[in-house]
Amino acid sequence: MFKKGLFSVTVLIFLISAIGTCFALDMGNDRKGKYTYRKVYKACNARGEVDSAKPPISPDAKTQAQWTRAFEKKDFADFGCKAEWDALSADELADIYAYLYSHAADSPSPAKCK
Amino acid sequence: MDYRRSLTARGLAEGFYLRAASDPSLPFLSHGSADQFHKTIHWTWHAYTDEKGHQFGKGGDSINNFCISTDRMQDKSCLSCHPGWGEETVAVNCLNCHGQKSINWGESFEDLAAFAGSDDPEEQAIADEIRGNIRAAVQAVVRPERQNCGGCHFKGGGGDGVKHGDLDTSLTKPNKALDVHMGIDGRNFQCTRCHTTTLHNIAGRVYTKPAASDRKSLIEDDLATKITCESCHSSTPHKSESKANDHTDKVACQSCHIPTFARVNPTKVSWDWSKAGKRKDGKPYKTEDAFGKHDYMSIKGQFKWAKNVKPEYFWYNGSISSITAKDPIDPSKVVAVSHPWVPGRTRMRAFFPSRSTMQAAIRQGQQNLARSHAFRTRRVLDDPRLEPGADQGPGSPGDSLLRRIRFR
Repeated sequence: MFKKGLFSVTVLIFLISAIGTCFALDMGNDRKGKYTYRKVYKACNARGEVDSAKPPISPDAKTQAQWTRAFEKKDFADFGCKAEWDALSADELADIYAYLYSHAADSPSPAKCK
Repeated sequence: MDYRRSLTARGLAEGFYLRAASDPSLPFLSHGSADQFHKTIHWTWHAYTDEKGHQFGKGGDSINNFCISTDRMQDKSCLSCHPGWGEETVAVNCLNCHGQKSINWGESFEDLAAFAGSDDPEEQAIADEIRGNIRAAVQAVVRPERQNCGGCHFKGGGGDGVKHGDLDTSLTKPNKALDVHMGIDGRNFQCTRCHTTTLHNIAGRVYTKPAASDRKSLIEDDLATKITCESCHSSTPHKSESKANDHTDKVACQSCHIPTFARVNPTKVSWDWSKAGKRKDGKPYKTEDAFGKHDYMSIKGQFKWAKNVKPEYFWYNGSISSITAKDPIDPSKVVAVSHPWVPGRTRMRAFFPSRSTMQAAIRQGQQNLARSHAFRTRRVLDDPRLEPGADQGPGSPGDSLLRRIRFR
């Protein structure tokens, strides 16, 4: 009975870990993400959709959990510049996510876009 | 004359070179003037030492009614404007004052160092972009303009209009109605038009004494280091029959010509550090007033902001009398930390535009203002075991805040 219980718990832990891994967001290079994030708005500004090349949402506008939810859902509507966001590769999105997450409001080093 | 050309004419432009830190082709500009700059108050934070051995200046014994004292300063944000500390003589980034393009130098060089050696083509492209930005900024050398001076002086004390009621970002591009000298639709003066410079020492400090004893006209001495109204307008600035000309020997021009200040942006007129340390739902918090300015911050205390403030008038000879941390005070009264000096009731000036009050502290058994580390509150807030008000104020570890006094 004890062995059966132990086996069940082990399987459960394995499943939870596996599912968690499948759904976990890739954390890219936050330093690179900062430049990729800026690049999105430079391109968007050059195209004429936005007046400023400065990203409209700073990392410290959201908490880490909020950034994670936004990137899990791939909900980038608030960011504008849909054409540029749609063109980003998975690696580029992971880099931007790493940048925004690392400097979120509740992170050790909250940051504003400059 | 174009400033770069004038530099060339003075043989200085050739002296500019790019000294490598992370990348041999880049970092900070340096030339012979850096040695000059290391001797200025902008770098040393030291003004002078009086006969009692009290050292004036933020790097010395001076106290002010905003951040109290920088003597135990640990807040790195202060260093963004105050480039040196004590005897430290590291690289001077001349472009903080002489650059027309503003970039985040520290971040740029840090990122460049991270990307420069990468094999990743994307990272190499980013490194090239950063190099391009730095080069463009390095090549945009100018005589200091309003945004250069204003980058620090408009935001003294940690924010727009905080410390100086007469200096804030509204002066970056003022109109003539706001500032008759600097108005972009008028004379369009830069700060350096009046704050003249000799060997990188900039005229107009109140620490140096007296601040303006000479009523020199530039016609008499075009190298006068203290620029006053009379320097350009003479001591008879009004129409020849005007009675007002008779007053200029006793009444300062500002007394009539600056009826109010902080006319566009509000200025901070009260800062009470003793209120710092409160929490809401267990967390530090901030509140805003009708101007949209913070009137409470857990890390800094309680503030009051005001607009269109009327100056207070004092008789004054051009010198400022300052209390240092070594001077005895009477804690039962409001302590005038910096006050216009009145030796001979010589002239009246609307001098104290940013007069403010705040709470400070003294230690038990002592009769002098405590040199506090202003941002020690942060440590209190980070440690939930410490009660608000218990230790957020001045002092070294172990010191107690025993009495709060008002000073201005």
